[in-house]
Amino acid sequence: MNVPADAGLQPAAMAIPEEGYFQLEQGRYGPIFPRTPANYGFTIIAKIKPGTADAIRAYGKVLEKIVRDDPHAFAVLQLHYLRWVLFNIEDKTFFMYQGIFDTDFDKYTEDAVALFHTLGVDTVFENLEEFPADWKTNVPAFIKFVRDHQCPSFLEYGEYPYAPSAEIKKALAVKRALSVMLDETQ
Amino acid sequence: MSPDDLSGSTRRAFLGSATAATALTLASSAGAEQTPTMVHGPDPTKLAQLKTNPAAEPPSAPKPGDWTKPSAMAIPKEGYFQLEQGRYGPIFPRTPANYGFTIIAKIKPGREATVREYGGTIEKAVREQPDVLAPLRLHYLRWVIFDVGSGPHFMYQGIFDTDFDKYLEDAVALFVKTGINTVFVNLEGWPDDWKTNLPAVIKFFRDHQRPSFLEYGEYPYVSADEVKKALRVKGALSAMLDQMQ
Repeated sequence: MNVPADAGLQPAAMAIPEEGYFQLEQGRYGPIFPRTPANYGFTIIAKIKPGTADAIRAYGKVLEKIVRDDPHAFAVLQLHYLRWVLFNIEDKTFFMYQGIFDTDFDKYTEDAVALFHTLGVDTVFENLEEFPADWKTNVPAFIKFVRDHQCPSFLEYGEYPYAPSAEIKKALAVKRALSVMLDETQ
Repeated sequence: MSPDDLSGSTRRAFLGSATAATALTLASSAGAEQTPTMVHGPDPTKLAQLKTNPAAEPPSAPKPGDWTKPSAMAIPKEGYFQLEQGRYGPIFPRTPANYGFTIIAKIKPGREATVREYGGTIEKAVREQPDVLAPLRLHYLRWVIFDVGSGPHFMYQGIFDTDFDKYLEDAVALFVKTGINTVFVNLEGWPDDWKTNLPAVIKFFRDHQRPSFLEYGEYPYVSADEVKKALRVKGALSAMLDQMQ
């Protein structure tokens, strides 16, 4: 991963064109979205099927338990933060999946499809309108759904920009280890 | 990192006074707020196809403040676990993804391009003065315009270390101080007297806040200050070791 030399030391903001990228560069499934000071990420917004809000909300508890039982269950996704939100606009309910992570958009989606399938939480997406019925055997269709519902940011800001999650965790570990060492020498 | 950043520092100061007490600090600040929220009541929704039992809580549940263990938190529909009134309304909990909000509001007709231009304004302000948003104690910000068939909407999504109301107070003060007009004047329902009517501003944000029902943090409950200190310590140590080669 190309990490700028000053990663993590100076806050940065980036304005992003309406298309979600600066130059059209085709990836495996569509345009490659840029890494920003807030790393890679997406904001997926999709309308939910009527009457499924409670079922979707219940998956929050399922994910909570999965991570509690195995805190590193999502390690492959190289996450910083995830937020799942349900909201209404004009009496229609929408699901928003917002993530900040260190892999590119398509790799994240591929990994997430495989992981969620393994964990048994992929069915949450079946509550969304336009979700492909054959998603279990059709990863490209899943990724197309995600891309079709991606809403690119027009501004992203990072207080410790471009710092990968793994670097942050290493730094926290180094700082703690050094602190313990210094305490022992007092 | 400039060596000047560390000049005149003792070993303890070099690490940051909070370093030695990192675990305690994090545990106390987060734990005080989170302990009640980690107790989960029975889930009224039953999903026959799910193999797991959300109501069961194993004794190995990670404690808030243990950043070595990624953590997820399911949040009730109201956005909080227990109703506790703050200065302007219910207090929203700190989660593994810290404090934050998702503000969604409809853009006034014809203002979409103006809203989008604010992206460049903020980018320039931060480039010229990287710590311009420091009072907000941010981790990340994302501004999104989306249209799901009801006209363009603006979404302001933030992850930060102060509570919801303090963030808003600081944000309004910052905008008034810097003279930057806020992007929110382009949103429907935004109070015209926002510069002098803080309660109206906070009411707008609370009315347009859409609480998460799940939040996840890979390095949960760690403040941005702690992250930056750690990155500086690691950078300095790495540079020091390079010099010893």
